[in-house]
Amino acid sequence: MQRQQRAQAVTIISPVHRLWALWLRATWPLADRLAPVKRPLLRLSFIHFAHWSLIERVPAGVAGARRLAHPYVLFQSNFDDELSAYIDAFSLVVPGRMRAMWQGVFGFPGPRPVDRFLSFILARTTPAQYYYCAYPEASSTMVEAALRLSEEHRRFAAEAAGLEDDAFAARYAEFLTRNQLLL
Amino acid sequence: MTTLAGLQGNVLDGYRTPHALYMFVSVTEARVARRWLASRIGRVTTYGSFQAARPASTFNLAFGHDGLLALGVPPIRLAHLEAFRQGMAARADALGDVGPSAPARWELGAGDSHALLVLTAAERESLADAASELRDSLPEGGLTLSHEQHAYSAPEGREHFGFQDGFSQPAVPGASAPRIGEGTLTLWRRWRRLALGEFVLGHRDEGGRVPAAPLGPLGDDATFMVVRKLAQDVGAFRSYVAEAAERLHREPAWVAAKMLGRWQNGSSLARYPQAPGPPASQDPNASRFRYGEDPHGYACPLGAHVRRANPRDSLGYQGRLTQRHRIIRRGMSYGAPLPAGISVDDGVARGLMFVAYQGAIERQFEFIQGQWLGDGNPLRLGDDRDPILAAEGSNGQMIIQGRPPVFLAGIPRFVTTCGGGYYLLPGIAGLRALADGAC
Amino acid sequence: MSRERDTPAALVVMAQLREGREQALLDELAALPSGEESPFRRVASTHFCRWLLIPALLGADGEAAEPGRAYLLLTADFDGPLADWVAAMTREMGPHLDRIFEHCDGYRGSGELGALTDFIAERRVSVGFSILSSRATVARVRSSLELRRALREFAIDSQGMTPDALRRAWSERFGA
Repeated sequence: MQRQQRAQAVTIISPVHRLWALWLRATWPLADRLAPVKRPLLRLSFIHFAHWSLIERVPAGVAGARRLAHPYVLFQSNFDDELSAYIDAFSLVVPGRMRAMWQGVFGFPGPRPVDRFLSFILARTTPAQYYYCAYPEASSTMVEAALRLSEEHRRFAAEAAGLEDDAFAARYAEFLTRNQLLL
Repeated sequence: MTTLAGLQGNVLDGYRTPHALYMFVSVTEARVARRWLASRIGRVTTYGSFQAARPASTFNLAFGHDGLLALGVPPIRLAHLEAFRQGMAARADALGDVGPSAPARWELGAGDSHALLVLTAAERESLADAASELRDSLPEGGLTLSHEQHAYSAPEGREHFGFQDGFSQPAVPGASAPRIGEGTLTLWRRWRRLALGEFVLGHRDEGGRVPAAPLGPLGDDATFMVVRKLAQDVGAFRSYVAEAAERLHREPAWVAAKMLGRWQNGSSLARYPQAPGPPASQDPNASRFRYGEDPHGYACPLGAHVRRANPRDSLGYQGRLTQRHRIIRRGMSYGAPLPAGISVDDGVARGLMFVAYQGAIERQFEFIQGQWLGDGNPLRLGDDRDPILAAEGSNGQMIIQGRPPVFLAGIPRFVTTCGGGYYLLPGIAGLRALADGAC
Repeated sequence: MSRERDTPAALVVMAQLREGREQALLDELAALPSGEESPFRRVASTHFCRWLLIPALLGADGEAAEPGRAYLLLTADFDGPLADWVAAMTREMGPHLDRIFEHCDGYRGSGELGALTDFIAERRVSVGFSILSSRATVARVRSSLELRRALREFAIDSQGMTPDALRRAWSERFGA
């Protein structure tokens, strides 16, 4: 498979119950600061960035603007690769978080069975007509690995600067061993 | 729920017959072909009939999407089966069938044929007799033979690169006693069989649903069959392994094992990291292992072929992320072996007739091929692809994890796709309905 | 809810289209160069940017909730304050922005000082919850990826080297 553009844009916009919008407004500020909430989602889905918004009026930034008949939740992400590969994982492993994200969306069928959940998600996905990525050939895991590796390299280069050849070779071997999963 | 008696054989319970013939045919006259089919149904080997008595030769048949249409199946019955409808050639990009493996370069008549007829036998003569009779029946049966390929199981079950293969299959209800480790893990870290619907249509799969199937009788006791004719460049493999071994000051057997994930006798690196264990064919525990105890890949490299093809619990969560992506494999070798000691291609066609059965082509075969083998990212291996099957566009590199790690580079292409297709293997009732034009 | 403290920051803008402009907008987006030729390459602090047409907001019943109203959605992830990013966009892509946003209600062009900033501010959708896999700038991501490639290459090429050859090769490649 050719991988010129690893990141894929996923955009979902869907109407929600008003009470659900209230719930999201109330819980987002706290959830947004809790790493344990986010960790499994990051681990499972190789996200670069993902954002959730609520849209209740148009234009959104004008107080007193026209209210929409329903609030809308807007989900946007930059995943590596295809959504269907992740939905499987989300449904199997973090169904609770899927409920917490989508419960109040009209028509939400539940996180399982996964095929029905996938259909629900795909039906609400809008394609992006234009998508730019500054590092298209790199997946999010590659970016993370590269950032960590560059830190490790900096440390190693500093430590190794004054070493004799044999000592350097030994430390270099240790550097490789310690960081092989990042290469 | 059906009794599986109508399911064709070799799916749940492998025949293990040493000789086979694959015949790719096209339908030239639909009405005549349906009559031919009606006359042949009695000879089809089923799961039930094979259990009851071993015939001198087995006979099975599968149909591609266009073949079913040619036989009069209304398109609406199949329209929702996206990958099956398109056929394997149309999915080439996602499967890595590009460059020399591109469909345009496949052997004539060997791609996405209307139908695939498969004969197997314990004796070469029985196969020859059955083949001769079958071949003779085709012209008057409204069918034309477009390609055929003999195949066999080598002694000790070794494929052309020298590895024992085919012994590790998913544990499914209805299969003969599976080995421990071939199913999936429960929350209590015990092994259990996989849901039948992962491999047989009409039954619930691991997601709790019945997989998408052809509408009507074609969907009962049926399964999807993926066939790939994979040419193997044994000379290039031996030569690369020898050269890498010399450069890295290791044994060739070690390099080859690290690339594959098992020693040549089939013993797993996960269980036997330093030296081969007992041959897999003699070891009931050959598949009894988890990768969770080897998270860094020091025993079995993270990118080794078998670890990619079935990551087990490598992805965490007690293997839940792998249980919906398993396949039953019934492949056999073709072509004379390259004599031992030769490290240059001799121009003789040889390779693997890869055959996989699953309930959902996209989620099972294509997922493994595209996500785990054809890419490194889902396994956190960046751009590194499977070292055995790497296709055009691969970086040709592999890290053999260790203290310190060892790097393979310049891995050439060893395997070229030269034919194959996506087929439906109908149950007996489906075959009857097809013959009657009642689909 | 301001996300400007985040690095990278996210901007989501939803602008209502002028009536009947859907196809014209799609044509503009199709004409905008992508990949290496993308004008966003010149707005170097941009990690990701997408533009998409929302042809209709659907109601609970699956039908268009407001027939005839379509929206343009712009979402970007970028380094640094919003004001700097908008200034860079105006400088490097002003004409492109004009050709796209002119199909939106209330757009007065990027030439008039502050007009684009006001346009964006009025249509900005706040982001309530985000997941970011890293907080590095574009420049740091790119240089790290390049270094990773170089280290992999070095690791392969230096296998089997004697210690002195290794030391020399390292110095040549990475300095010191």
